[in-house]
Amino acid sequence: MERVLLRFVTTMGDVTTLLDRWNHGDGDALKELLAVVHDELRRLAGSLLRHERANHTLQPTELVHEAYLRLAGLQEMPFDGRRHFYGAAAQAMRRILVDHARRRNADKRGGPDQVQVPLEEILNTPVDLRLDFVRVDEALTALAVLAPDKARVVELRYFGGLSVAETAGVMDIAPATVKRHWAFARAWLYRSLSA
Amino acid sequence: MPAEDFARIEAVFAAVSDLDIEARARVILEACPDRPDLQREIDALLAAHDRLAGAESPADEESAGIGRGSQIGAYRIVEKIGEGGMGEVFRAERADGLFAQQVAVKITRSTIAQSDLRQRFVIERQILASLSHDNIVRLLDGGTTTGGQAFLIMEHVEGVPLTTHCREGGLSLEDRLHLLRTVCRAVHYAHEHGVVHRDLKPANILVTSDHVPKVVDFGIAKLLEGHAGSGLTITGVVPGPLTPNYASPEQVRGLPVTTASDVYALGVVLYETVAGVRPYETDGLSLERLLDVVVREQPARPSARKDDATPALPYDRARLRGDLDAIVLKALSKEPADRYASASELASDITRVLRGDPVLARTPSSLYVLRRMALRHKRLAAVSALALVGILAASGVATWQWRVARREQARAEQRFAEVRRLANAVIFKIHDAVLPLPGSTPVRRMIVDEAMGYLEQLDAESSDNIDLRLELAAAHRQIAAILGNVGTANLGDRDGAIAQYERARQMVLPLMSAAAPYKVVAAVVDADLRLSSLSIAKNDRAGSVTYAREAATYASQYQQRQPHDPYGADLLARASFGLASALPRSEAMPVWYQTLNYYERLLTIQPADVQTQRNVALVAKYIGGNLESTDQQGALKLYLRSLDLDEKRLTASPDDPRVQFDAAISFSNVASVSELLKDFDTATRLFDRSLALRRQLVAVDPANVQAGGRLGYLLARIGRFNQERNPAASLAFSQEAIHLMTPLLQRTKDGSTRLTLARAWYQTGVAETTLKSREPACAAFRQARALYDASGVIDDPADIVPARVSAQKSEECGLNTQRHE
Repeated sequence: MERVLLRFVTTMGDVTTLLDRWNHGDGDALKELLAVVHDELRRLAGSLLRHERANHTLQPTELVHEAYLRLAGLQEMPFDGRRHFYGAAAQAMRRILVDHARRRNADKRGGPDQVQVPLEEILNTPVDLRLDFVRVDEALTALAVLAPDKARVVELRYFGGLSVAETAGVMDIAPATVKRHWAFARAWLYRSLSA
Repeated sequence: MPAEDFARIEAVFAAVSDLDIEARARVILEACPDRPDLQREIDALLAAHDRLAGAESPADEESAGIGRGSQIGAYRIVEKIGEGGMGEVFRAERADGLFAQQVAVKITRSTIAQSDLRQRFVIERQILASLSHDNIVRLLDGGTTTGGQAFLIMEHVEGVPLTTHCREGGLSLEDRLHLLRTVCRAVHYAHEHGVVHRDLKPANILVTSDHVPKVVDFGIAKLLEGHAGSGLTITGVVPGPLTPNYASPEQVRGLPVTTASDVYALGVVLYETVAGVRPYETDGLSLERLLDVVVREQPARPSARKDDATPALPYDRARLRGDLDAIVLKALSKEPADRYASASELASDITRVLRGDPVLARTPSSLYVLRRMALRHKRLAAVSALALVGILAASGVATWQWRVARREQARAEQRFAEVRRLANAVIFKIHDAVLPLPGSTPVRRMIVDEAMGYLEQLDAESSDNIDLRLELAAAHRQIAAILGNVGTANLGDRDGAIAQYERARQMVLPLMSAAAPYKVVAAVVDADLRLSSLSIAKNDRAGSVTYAREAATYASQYQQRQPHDPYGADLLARASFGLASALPRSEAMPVWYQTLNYYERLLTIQPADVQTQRNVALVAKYIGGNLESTDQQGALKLYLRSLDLDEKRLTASPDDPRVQFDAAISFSNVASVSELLKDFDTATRLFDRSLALRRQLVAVDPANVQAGGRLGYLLARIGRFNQERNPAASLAFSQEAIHLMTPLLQRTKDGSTRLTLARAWYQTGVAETTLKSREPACAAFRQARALYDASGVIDDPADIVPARVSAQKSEECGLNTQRHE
């Protein structure tokens, strides 16, 4: 008997079941869910990242929504589940882009074709893949210490490609608050990165 | 940076970012006069803000963009069939083609992003979806699109508006009254479930070609109101969902809408249905006039409408005089308290008209009753005084009963409203409001406890109302989820969650009976299954089994009663799955078989349901896997069943990776057991098919660790298959597995990857030995041994021999090497 089988049976019902299990106290379900979302996103982002040279941009919105459609399928996810899904997806996108940048930095350290992306491009979509996400990530992590909500807004909007309204829904705050956080966080990151 | 400095910077930034330079400078100076460092920081942030202001950020607006072919929930849009203030209405059908069911999809124009609104939307929706009445169009589903627009999916009804139906069909007065009575009863049914229509009008009462009235859009007005609040924000004209011609005085005045408002609207509809005209025309009136007319003006009696505008009726208008006039005017009373206490009261009075009995609407003076009775019994030669007294007494009793019933109902309605308000306010709003506060966990705990106390108090008085009971049980389940949630709303209280689920279960259990409806059974089974899995998480296996057994028992009883209800069949399969998972391995097998049977039965009810196909296949695989070492024929049968279903799905969706995974495992399962049964041709052929699928999965997604692991496993497995038959092939497959799995193991440090890799090295050793390559063989056995040693306990019997042989061979190799030296 193949070893994967048991696990396969227990993950029956896929993402919805995982969410359900998680909601009912099964901590492993979250790990599994994050892994599934992460895998799916990386798979979707994979070829885009590989062909980076041809096109320097990436649309997280499309990726995340496509992952959602693929993973959630036809089943209507409960609102809470969707909320967690988008939260997880934004986190996963951030990790994928940072890993990508880290790999590329290792390849090109000090190389002649290092492109300086204007800082004004920070936090714009489509995401400019030439940005140094390792630095963006560090700045964002530093911001999260002072203002976790603001960092979360950036994660959801920028890496997750969510709109103001969707971000508000996921975070359970008013859209006006999202906008306020966003404006501040952008200025703050710009300042940290240009320092 | 100190937190208070950051907070100050942030506050000042938010306050000034939209101001001009001068104003900014002024505010910043005032806000932190003694802190030039903070002033500089804020200036720098504002400079960055201004630079970035031009460059815009992620798209904020999602176009509605919904049209033919768009998918909403499980449905695909066919065409637009209407548009209103709230949004658009589409005709749609099941996207998966499972049923040829036509539905109507309503999509709001605005988005509901705020979570308390969404929560409310979800709760309202669930209540509406629970309305199940032949004369109410069902709400099937709903949700929010990714763009945040709310959508509702309801039964699609082909029919014409009530008034059109009456006019064009030339219906008799009796037929009209029959239709109206049916509508009143449907409305009453909804009222009993706590749902007020709020927008009753002929256009919302469709009559099908077989004369069945169907009330459309029950409670939708409120549901779609979203953030509009009370619904009436009059600025000159009446907006939104409200149709002023049918709006009650309290609605027009912006007062709370109750069941009495629906009774009023039914009165207007009745008026229009029997008299052919509306009590008053309010179209195009100014707000002032509208208030005047609806709130103050007494409508003319239906029988007295003889102006030029009144259309001809197929019956004599004089027949409306008396009882019908009285009924209509009572329903149209300005004061809610003067109207019928319920829609069913109105229905009863319509019945009395049809039978010629005295109606409630007319002042029950003795004279009136006597006359009525005398009229009715005029064919009787004489009516004795005694009989008259009896009738009078009976009518007194009826009036008294009516008062009691009315009081009862008022109490039930009030209680229902209280519970819902509590569930809303305490469990969602208040809890969520304190959620972001640091250190609020004890406060939340307190809030939830407080809410519980109140709920329990209400619960003590609710023993007679099934729906209220279910509602309360659902509230308990909701609280349980909050207590036991691992995610955001985490009180980290698993025992508390168990207690709440237990409470939910206890509440619904008394409702269980031989005839309990699905919703009751499902509520118990659901609580049981959650309790069962929480018990497993707590290592309380005995408790887990007890709960799961109860679930299975109830689900099975229901299924026997309603053998064709797919929901019942699904419930039973789920319960059985829960039981099988709860039972210790040694006892679980018969239950797994049963689970398989249940899923098979469900599949006969819905043969095209992909998820059911998958569930059957998965359970069959699981059982097959357990049989493989003892009963290969039995295992083969199950594997073939699974393969059959997986291949079907593969044909239907050849590019779906999940289906490919499922099929790949089915192919190799059959191949494996065929090998045991010495059917090597089949084994070879199916191993190849599985291999092709797995290679494809890896090719599509080389970074996917799982896919890599599955391919590596099979390569090693085929290596073993060829071990004796074809050592060269065995070597090639094993080496490919090693090549693939070595980097995987470095990344994942996963135990089963390590074992597979050990096996591949072992097989390499065996093949090299057969091929007389001594040194490579020794090297391979050493690798295998090292991996087996790192694995610790070897529990798969298939690995015991390879582990032992590897150890032994590498010892021998070592000795030989030493001897050579």
